[in-house]
Amino acid sequence: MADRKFELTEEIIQRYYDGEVHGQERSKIEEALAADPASEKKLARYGRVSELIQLVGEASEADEFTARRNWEEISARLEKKQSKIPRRAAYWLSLAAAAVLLLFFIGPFEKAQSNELVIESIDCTYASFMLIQPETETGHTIIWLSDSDNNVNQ
Amino acid sequence: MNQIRIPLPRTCASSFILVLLGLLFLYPFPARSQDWQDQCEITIREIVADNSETGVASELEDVEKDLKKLAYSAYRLEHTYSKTVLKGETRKFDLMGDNHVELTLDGYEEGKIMLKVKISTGESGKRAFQSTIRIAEGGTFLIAGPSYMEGVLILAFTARL
Repeated sequence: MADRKFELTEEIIQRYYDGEVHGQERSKIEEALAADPASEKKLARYGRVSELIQLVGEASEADEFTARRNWEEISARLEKKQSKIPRRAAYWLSLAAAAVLLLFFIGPFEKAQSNELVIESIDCTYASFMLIQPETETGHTIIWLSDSDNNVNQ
Repeated sequence: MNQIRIPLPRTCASSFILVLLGLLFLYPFPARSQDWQDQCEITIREIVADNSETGVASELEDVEKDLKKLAYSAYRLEHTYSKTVLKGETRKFDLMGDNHVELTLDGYEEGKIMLKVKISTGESGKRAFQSTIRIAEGGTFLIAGPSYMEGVLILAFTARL
């Protein structure tokens, strides 16, 4: 029979289950448990509750792990998608930028004003006329009208 | 902790494209047919060439190389005339030495301004030259030869839309 002074409280059963009691105290508890089937049931219930807590804990750890792994996968895919498109786009954008800048800054100077003159018809009562064509694209055509041909350096 | 990142590159790319489009918009493309508004502005520079001095007026820098092909030592800019000519309209310019120029805007063909130019001397138009030409927008051509004092008149025509 258990010692009258020794009473199996919830706290003691829990401490016993958690392995926090040793020596004489442990022996006393074991004796008391053996003598009190209700307390033994309580101890068994602690065992089940503990198992459940452990299971829930493992499950939540697993969930966190899965969630993290999923996130990393999604994140990696997103990064891959994002980095691939801008890289390709960046290539074309760079080309476009170069072309536009070239067009904008060099174009007007390279493509100087064309002075090409197209003569559709001429009706002249001067003694003569001659066309002095420019040597370059930027030069200007001169229509020379004359009664004599001695005023041109050619 | 992973955080959702804002896709900055796309925002930058959009801004960049907008800048490029802006630059393209500002680019001075050559005049196209849609710029043609049935009118153009004609500028005539009246130049006197003779051998009284030497040199070319600074205002004639753009045509200096061409002028030097002629056998004169001095080129002076006497007057500059500028008039807007409507399609089908004829504008008359009275020049020095009883010389006259008549300009008719015929239209705009194949990216060029089509003009009829008539130069005559004296009331009776004893000497006359008439030509139909096509010139690029902003282009310049010269007609030289009508006598003026000891030299000749040179006319530099520039047409702009």
